[in-house]
Amino acid sequence: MRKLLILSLLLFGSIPALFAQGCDWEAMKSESQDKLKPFKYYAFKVSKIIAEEDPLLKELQIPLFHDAEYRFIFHKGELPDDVKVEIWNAPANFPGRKLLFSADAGQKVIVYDPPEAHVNNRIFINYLVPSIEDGGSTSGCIVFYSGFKH
Amino acid sequence: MLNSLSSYSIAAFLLLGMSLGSCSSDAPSESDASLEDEMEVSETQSSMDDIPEDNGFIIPSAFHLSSLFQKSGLAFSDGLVNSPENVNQYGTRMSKLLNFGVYSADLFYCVLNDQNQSSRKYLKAMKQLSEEAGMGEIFNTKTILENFEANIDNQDSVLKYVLQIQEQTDDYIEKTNEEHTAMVIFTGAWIEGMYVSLESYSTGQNEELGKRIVEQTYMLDNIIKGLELHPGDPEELQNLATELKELHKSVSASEDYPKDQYEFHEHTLRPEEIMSFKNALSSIRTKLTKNQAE
Repeated sequence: MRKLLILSLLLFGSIPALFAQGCDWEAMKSESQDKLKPFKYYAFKVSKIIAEEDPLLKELQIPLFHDAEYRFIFHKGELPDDVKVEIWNAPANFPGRKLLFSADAGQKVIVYDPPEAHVNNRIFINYLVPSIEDGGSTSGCIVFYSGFKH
Repeated sequence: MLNSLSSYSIAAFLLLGMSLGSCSSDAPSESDASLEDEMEVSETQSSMDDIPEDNGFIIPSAFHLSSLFQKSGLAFSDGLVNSPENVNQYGTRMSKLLNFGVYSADLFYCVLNDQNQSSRKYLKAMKQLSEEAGMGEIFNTKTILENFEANIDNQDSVLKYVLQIQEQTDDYIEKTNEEHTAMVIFTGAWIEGMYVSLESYSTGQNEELGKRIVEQTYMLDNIIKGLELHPGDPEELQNLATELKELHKSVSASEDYPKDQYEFHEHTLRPEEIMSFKNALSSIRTKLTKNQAE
């Protein structure tokens, strides 16, 4: 019973720490803001990432509008270099979707200005998180920060 | 602690297993097919066991939507907006949040049309509603309001402060883990922006504005999902979601409405279809701003 209590405390006590670790989103957002000019603020989103023994995919959908110019900034913070950022024209379960952009591995801050041809009604960001060997885990977050030209 | 636990379980449902190699080429592969299967299972489990935090939809800037409408020929008309005098009639938190969104769209409309005195009134109404809805932190920094007042005649400065307010609202949402609240606010702003644009369209049937209006309807499915996922299922939001579903059904039933939303479409509907959409949306907007939805 005592062991169970200790195990529960260790397990649940570690969860907030997992999220806190490596995710100073306000600092990451502030660094991203510097790269936004001359675009005006459009939207941002913090995605919490926990890498474990299975590879992971997290998908976000961004609405875009015709004839507008956008800038996307992705800040990976302290996440491992092999966490990938990709942009697709359709969701992961849509057959024949097209890859629009794939960031080079190792880039901590990624800046992408989608060409006009990619500005459809919506596009899909995929965060690809490889597995962690030996039963370990790592956590952090990706800040998506974006702007439009007014 | 509870928040963290909830976030943990939500994140666990959202994070899906897949083969990394399968996403490196354009062509779908067998691995893609297995990923689709895993996603379907995961989504089913998520809806059965937990309330997802959001539907993975990034809520856009309502200011951006207003500026797009303006570029498409939306003219200013004083009588279209919701009077800031109505600010005291919103009794529930949901109606305060929805009308915070409505007033934000009206503020953007006024700012973009150099209606400085009106802008000031809308900003005050938003401040009042934010405080009453427990989000006073957004306007707590006096600097924004003071700077707004001091630079009211300089449109570039006013735009800067308006965007700052929008960003501070998003910061507040992130800090308090209330993305569902952001969707309620955005819904109010979307309805008001569409209402003003449709009313303006009805006077001149500007084709560019018509295309913009149709483009905006592509977001309806995500707005509806966002309202349906709101924790606690508030009756006002469920009713609103039902009305918006009907609206979506009627507009998407048109033969001219694009069926594939993953490719670019610059379609517009026939003027009579847009007018029918206008009438249905006006009815929803009236309930919202006259507080008949409570």
